Amino acid sequence: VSSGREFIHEPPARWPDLHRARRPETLAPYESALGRLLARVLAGEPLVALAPGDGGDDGPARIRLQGLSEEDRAVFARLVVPEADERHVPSGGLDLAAIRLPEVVRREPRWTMSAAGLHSYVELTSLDAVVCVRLIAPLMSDLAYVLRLRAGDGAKSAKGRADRLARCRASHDVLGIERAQIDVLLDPDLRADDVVAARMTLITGWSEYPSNLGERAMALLCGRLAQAYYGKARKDGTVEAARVLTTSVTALLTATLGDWPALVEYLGEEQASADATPVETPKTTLPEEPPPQVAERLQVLREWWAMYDARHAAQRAGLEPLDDLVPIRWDYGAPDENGRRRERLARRALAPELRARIEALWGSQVLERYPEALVHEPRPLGIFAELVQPAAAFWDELSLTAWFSCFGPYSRRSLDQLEAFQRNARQDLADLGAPVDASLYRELAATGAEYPFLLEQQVFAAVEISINLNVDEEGQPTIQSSVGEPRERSHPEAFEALRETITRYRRAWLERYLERYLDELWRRELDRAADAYWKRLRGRGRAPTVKQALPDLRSAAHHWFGADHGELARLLGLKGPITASPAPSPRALPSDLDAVRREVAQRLALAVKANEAGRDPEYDLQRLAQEAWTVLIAWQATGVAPPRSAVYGSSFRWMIEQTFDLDLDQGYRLLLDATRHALEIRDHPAAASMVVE
Amino acid sequence: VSAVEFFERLGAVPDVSWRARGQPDSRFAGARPVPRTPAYEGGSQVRWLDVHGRPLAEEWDWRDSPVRLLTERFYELAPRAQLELALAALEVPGTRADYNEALGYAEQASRLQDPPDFEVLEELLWAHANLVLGDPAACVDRYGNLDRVGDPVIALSRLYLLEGFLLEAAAVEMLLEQLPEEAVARYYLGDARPQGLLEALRELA
Repeated sequence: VSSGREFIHEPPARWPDLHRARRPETLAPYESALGRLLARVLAGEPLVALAPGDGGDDGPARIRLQGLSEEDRAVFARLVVPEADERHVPSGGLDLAAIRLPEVVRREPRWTMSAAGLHSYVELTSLDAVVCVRLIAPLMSDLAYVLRLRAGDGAKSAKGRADRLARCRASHDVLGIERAQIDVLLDPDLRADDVVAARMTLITGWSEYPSNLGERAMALLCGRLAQAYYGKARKDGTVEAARVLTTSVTALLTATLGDWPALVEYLGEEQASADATPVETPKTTLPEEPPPQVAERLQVLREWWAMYDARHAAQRAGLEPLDDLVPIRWDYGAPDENGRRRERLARRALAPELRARIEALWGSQVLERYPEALVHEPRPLGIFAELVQPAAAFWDELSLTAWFSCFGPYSRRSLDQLEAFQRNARQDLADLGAPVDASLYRELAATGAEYPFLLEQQVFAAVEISINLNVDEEGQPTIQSSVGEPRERSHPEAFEALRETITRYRRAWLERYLERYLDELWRRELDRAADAYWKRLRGRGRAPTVKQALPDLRSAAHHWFGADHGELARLLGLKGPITASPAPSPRALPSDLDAVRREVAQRLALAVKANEAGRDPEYDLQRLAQEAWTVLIAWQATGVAPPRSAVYGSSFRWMIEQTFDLDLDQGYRLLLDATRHALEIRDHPAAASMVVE
Repeated sequence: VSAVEFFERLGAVPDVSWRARGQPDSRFAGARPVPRTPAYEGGSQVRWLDVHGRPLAEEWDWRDSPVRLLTERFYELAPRAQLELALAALEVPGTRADYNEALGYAEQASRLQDPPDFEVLEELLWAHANLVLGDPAACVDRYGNLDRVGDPVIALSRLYLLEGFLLEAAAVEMLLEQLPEEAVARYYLGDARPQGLLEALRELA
């Protein structure tokens, strides 16, 4: 058998021959079943029926393939069907519209694309769904691409469009169906009627398929695997599985040849040495006691939980609500009239000494682009926030439901909805060795029985609308209406009863499980980091570079080692460049980053475009100015301003266009100018570097 | 107070080409609006009278035009009846703002048919686009907002774009230039614009 590289060098029309020469015999019944199914789709038979899934009308739909024989179903049973568990029903997108095109074009020739609909979201827990998602949809999506191209769907770059179009042509060639209409549909001067005619000819032409359709379909899918393989392979034809098997390639492989050795054999290649003789990696053993870096962070977490518990235990009518006592990762709240952000309770509630320790322990980071330097983390409380979850969210849900049910304005859930709503959160805590006694809900329900309003369905956004009708002095009717704040509630007795119950259970949980929970938290994260690193090393056959390995360790290092991935790696006994610690940057940032951000926002405001259609640009300005920190921190790492793409990615395009009527590059230059201005006022050395490289 | 501009039916609005698809409701034949001083702040500046000069609705009811009275039950109905009702609302007297609202109902209902009625939708969107292009300021909602007035033009362009009717989509999008900037919610135009796609096709060819 010649090298699988022929799939790359030969035209796609030859792929069926190449496939026939190397496919395993066991694939034949599978190909036949696939051919029968695909033939029905191409001929315009309605094949797929959708019904509501476990999540009802709003959740992913359930798929049923109509008319699939039991024999063919048995052949498809080699496909892996994901299993649902209590917390998760595997689901995903499906290009159902492409599958339905041949059916829809025959009954709705003019409005085919509108009638076919958009992508569907489906449960993947049945064989029918897996057949659709893994086999039929990829084939049909490629065939339909030229129609998507005209609709502006899919790839946006010239190269991306050209690549997808090449796939579309190749699909027709491999399946042996006519493709002349693709070129017709690329004509920009087509009127609507011409598009309709060309589309009809193209799609109905799909039903003129050769008799060996299944074999050709499998050749197409295996040819795609070959392209993925040789896109990464060395000149000698070897490549490690880990370098090729992305999520999508893995899905394609399991739906076709089955596994990696089968693919390598199919292509007539040799296993890469890292796969043939996997590198031995040690089992990670964590120390009995937490290392000092972890221990001092655990102590801060204990103190935070003590503060959290005390605040909730002392909560009563008339006090500030505690709905922002728990810190959050990102806080983009709008500033007040002075350009200052409201200081969240999460920060205010911390004793100065505790706050200072959080800032010291979580105030450093390593950027993925520049992993050699230890730089400033501007949101240490945001990093800390990740460590109080998932427990804080669980206890907050209980306490805040009690508070808002009793004092308004409204609660997201009523008391009797909590047990079902918190089922997954309780399971998460149980997995961390810290289960919650569910009799808590019985006691809350008993309190609810005494105060029936606690069990009422709450209106999500209750507002009060009042309308007054009167007759004026001349006998004419008058009307006054107003929309007011929701009616105030005040049920301190009910709240105190609930608070007492929740506090009792929370304290019992903290006393019994907090240590185990915290211990599990750091051990689990470090274990997972080590596993991910060793898996990467085994996949490559040698130690990864720092940049390659950082995604595996960055989060754990950030959480427990002040972002020093080297220190973490040494503790875990890892081998390779990742064991070197990042060096603290010699470049200092301005000490008043908040003020810098405000000044940048003020400077940007000068460039807001006129006639802004009544939109208040304040939020956008703050969001755009926030990225001055990204610029400065990258400067701290490298000494130069980062490229635009590292600061204003494409997701900022619309915001910048709407706010300034500028494109991304112009918007970034504006940000650099504003940042330079703020730095020059401070006579800061970074000012000179605020230019696009 | 100046006279209130109104029309006997949507098809009577200048520049709007509309072939009646619904039955006019005889209760509203000959109805006409007259100016009035609002009974309260934000109240209606128009009162609708029937052919005999009697108010169509109670004094304090601000939804008193024939179109609005007819469509009040819209959300209580099944999709088929919704479409019939909305189409009937286009055949009674109304202002541009009334037809702007009723066309929105009809478009929504046409998409909800099983199968969706795209022929009707296209006709509705063309009528709607011409209605707002003719006098955008007269199509504002009851709060006086202009910022969604361009929506039917965008919807028509998007309908053509999805089908790959790029020349038609580009021509419709050009019509947006005739509207005040604040009437066009550009966000809804999306990233893929017909003119850009035409150029992309030329490059690929």
